Amino acid sequence: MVEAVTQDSRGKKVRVELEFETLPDVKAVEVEKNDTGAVITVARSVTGFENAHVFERDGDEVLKEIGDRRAVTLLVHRCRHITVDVRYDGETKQRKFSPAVTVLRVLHWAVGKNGFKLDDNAAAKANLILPGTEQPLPKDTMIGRYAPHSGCAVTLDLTLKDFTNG
Amino acid sequence: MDEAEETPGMQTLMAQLDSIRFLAGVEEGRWQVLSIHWPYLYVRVRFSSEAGELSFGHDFRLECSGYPDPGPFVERWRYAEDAQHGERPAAPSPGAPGFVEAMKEWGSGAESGIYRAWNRGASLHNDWSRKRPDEAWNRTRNITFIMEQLYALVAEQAIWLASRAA
Repeated sequence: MVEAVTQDSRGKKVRVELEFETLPDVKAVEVEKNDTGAVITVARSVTGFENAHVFERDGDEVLKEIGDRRAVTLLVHRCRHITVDVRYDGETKQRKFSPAVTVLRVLHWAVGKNGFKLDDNAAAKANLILPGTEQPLPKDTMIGRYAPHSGCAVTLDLTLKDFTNG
Repeated sequence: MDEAEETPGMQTLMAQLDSIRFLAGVEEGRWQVLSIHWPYLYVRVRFSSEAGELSFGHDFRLECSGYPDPGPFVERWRYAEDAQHGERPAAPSPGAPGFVEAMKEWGSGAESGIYRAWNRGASLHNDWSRKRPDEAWNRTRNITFIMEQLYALVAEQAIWLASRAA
């Protein structure tokens, strides 16, 4: 039943999915509601991540409260911010983002009034792509997934290529 | 939900609606399940800016026969608590170019619906799924993939509306 799926509180557990920088593995755990400490402990239990920051997906700030929600997606990253360079038409725009910010938000910035100020038609075609790759970045992924902690930075190209027509 | 016999496709979909990724989107207010009347899944997708001054939502109907192979047939919808569970509204106009193009009236029958590679009704049109594997549905994908695509579309329209209202 839909109600069972979407309203089921699953007792007092919060289901948590954790992604770690550029690592492919995703960790899923359940913690008691409001037990933020348990989440932080899990996040920092991975070797090398003992002092890492924990962010809620698309959040600007580090996680403060896990609350009593049913589910949450987190990013564990050793960088507090990611410096994003976006290149387009011979120009580069730069801005710092939280590692957890989605590619969609970066794209909105890049095409918007603080970015390259694209008109509506151009903005509708815009995608972000890693230099030298063939496919646009998925808009729902977090930007920190493409930025190793060694540099806390990523360079992207803004493209208006119509991938539909090859 | 209807008292329909549970098919493997329905079981697969229900399990995915209970996944962390999907529920996190519900908790974030990005989408909600309005109802399920198998094989139809009715959802509402909403984009809201962080400050709350910008908010726009739209309903969609996903026909999920055989899920996950083939993927859902996705069409614009206006949900209502009536015998038909609402109706398909007229194509939106004016609006953000990408939103309007995706929601346009085109084709008929099995080849129609949202004009994007991830919609079953459009995936074979102009060999779209082969040209855009990053946007195409395949059986290894999760229903959250579709929700994220719909969210990006709705976000584009929300930002366009806000720019016109400013």
